[in-house]
Amino acid sequence: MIKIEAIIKPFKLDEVKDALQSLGISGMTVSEVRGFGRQKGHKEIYRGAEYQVDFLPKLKIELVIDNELQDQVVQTILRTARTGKIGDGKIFVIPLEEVVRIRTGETGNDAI
Amino acid sequence: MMRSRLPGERGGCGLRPALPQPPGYTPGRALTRALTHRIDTLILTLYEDWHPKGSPDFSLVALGGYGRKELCPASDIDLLLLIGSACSKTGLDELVGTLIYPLWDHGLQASYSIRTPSQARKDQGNDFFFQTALIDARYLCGSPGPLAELKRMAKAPPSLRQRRTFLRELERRDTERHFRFTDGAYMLEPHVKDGQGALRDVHSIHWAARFLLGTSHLDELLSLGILCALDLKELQEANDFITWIRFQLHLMAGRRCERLLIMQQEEVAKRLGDSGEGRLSPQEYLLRTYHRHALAIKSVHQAFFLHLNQQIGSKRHPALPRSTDALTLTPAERMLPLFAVLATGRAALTTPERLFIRSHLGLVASLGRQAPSARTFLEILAAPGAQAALTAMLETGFLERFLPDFAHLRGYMQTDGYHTRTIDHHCVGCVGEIMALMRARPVLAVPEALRQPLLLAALLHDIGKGSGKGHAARGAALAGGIAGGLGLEDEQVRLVEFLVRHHLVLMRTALMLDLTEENVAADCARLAGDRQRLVMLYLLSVADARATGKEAWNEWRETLLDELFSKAIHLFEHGFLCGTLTPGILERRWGELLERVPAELGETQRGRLWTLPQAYILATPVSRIIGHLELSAHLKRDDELVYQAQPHHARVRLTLITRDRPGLFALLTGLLALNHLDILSAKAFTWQDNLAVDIFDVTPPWNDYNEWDRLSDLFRLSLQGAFDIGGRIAHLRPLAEDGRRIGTGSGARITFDNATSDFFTLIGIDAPDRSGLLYHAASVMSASGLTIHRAFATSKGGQVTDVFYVTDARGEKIEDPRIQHDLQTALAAAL
Repeated sequence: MIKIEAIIKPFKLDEVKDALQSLGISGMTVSEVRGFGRQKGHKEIYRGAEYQVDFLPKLKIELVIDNELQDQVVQTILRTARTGKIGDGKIFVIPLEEVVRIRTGETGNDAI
Repeated sequence: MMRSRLPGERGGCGLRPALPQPPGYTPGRALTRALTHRIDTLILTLYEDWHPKGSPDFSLVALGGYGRKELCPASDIDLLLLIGSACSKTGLDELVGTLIYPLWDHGLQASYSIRTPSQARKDQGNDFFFQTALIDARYLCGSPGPLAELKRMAKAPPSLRQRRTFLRELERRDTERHFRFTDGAYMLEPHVKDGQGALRDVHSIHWAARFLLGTSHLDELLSLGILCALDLKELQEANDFITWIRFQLHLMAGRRCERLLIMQQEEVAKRLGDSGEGRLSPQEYLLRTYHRHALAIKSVHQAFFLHLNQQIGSKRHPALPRSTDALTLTPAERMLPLFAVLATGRAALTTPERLFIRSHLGLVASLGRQAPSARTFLEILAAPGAQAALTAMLETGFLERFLPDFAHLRGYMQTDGYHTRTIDHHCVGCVGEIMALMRARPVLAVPEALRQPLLLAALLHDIGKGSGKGHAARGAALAGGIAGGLGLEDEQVRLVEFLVRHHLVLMRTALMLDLTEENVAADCARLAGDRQRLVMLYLLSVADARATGKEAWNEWRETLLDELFSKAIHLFEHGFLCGTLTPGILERRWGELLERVPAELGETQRGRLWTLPQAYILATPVSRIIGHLELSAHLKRDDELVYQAQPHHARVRLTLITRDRPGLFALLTGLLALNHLDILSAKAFTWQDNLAVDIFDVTPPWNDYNEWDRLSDLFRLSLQGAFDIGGRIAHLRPLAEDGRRIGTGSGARITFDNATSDFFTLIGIDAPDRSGLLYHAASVMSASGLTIHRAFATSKGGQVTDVFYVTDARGEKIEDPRIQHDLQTALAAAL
């Protein structure tokens, strides 16, 4: 089992989510996050005082999948989240030791 | 001891009596009284079966909810054994064993304490909870003596200090409770006991009235001039309704359950019966009814405690000035001025004022839309304390009578997990948020003349809710009607409609679209039409989100919305929408396009209309845009170049359309130079579906020049790598000496502008004209990895002025001074 964490641009969520669902991925966690990489922030002057936005808003998608699906999922995110411009985000692939479904106590692939 | 079954009891954990439950709704307190009566009967039966030796020296007293006869099936049964001095330890054991243990055997949640009257009197002073429980003390059995003794001890009315301490403690507990149980989750799944406007607030009113005012019944608050008949009626109805829900929850769960969870709402709604309102689902109807009742309790609770504070509390509110208009104005006309005083930010309504308004609500409709009252209402809306005044209007019931279209929003709760208030309070909150924003950020302040329409739109922005999707459009029509009825001028009415119709656009765009695309900001700017209306849309968006709750407004969302807003407003301030006439020109062109394109063009071109960048539309007359759309339909393959050459005075206007690709502008200008087509002016755009549209005014090398097809042939060969433009240009010689230089030379002035656009770096080139100049400039840019998004060039008097809108390969502006320097050097060398 592996965990995929992808940082994407906010407006790409629907596209990525729909594509993943069509692969049969049934669950994911999405959170609003802020961070910076190579993309530069910008200055806001309408907030009252000049305000430098250093941490840009992104979305983090987390999903746990069977190893076999890794390539498919990574390629799908790559294809759908890409705009070609800076700040498109990153995909992290993390090996996972165990998954337990709290309701039933099922473990491993059964719990995904 | 034999376990005696309650009549009709089925057993199981806790008390689950099979009470005769009439179908549908029954006032809750009738149910609790019936249940209390059954418990009373059980205790009295146990007592009568006991036959103690001698006369009893104790009072068995019901406390709290049991004392008030408000027992729900899983409520605690709080008992106090008040014992006299003659009661022995053995007698006490027998007493508990006989009267209390059997209650446990019945599965009842009975708890008891044993105190002498003097202990009870002492604990009353030390334990606030016990003090309030004792207010509801009710004699059950034994001897009335000990209870009478306790009452005798407490007979002296509490001192002012004691009353103030009690009031302060009660308010502190209420505030804490409200804070804990009043976020969005609790609005969706209300806590029927401890939430704001829930049963505990009724208890607080009751305790305060008993302890602080010495009343034995809430009706007495009527004669004391603190509440009016309508207040009492609404309070009792609300108490009955919420008690009914609590009763159902206990029955359904088989245990104590004080929160109306979503999973239970369907069943409770079913038991409540049909709403008779087709547009609301049973669950929505249940929640709206709940919240209407909760708002009634909240409103009476607030007014009552405000009154108590004014009378006995330490935080007294300043009295309001008496109206001098009492003799000249009718009662109905005197109401709005009372709210107007609140709008100046001075104080809350006093008890007499509140009672005056509550008692004359029937007259509000007669105010109708009379000009003076409409004027006062609009002045209140735009005053600093508008939110306080509107809240008072809402909570007294004035607002829904003054604006009847607003009535259906009362207590309406959206089941989306975002909204932390019912829509009526959300709308009023939105008005307050706009005021606060304008105060905090003067750069966003709106001129006086526009404030009334803006704040009216804020109050009415959700008025279309409650009838399914499309509330913004539906609301715009309703809001327009209200604005007209209030006497706003036509232009202001249109502004209200506009703001209500589009109040979601900025937030949706910020969350759903790519803000690094110029057209996204440009579309919003065009929708707004001018800077001022964009500011108003922004204020409304922020206020709407802030008034919704913390789920809808956080730093993350704020950053996105601010990015969109600042990019859009820059277009008015120094971008392509700058200038007072520009937005009007753009709007007229769109109007004409929307009329002509469907009439004159096929489906493909009609669809393409929405891909046209606003900057292109602004720079291109409508007839030419239609020509370009027609021409674009001829483009079949990606490696194809379609053209149109139109004689235009002594020159030819050449339009080229193809798929955009890196280096395209250099390629096209190179082809023109190689064909000796002298460029007098150029405009290059990229449509959003990645079509490049380049328009050149060229002077052909000779009259009757007609070799335009060569251009598309060479274009295809170049793409295939079979034609080397760079190599050919290096050896290009003029057909005839025309006075212009061919080689490179000095004198070019190159500037970088990052201030004009949020999206592109503008590279300006002023240079003496020469053959292939545009080609050389564009080639240097392409070779440096820049993307040319737009280009404008003119040639006049031997001098060329070019502006290129570029980004680097990653889509960012060129802000690094070192890269700018390198580019400048390369361009100077090439030109």
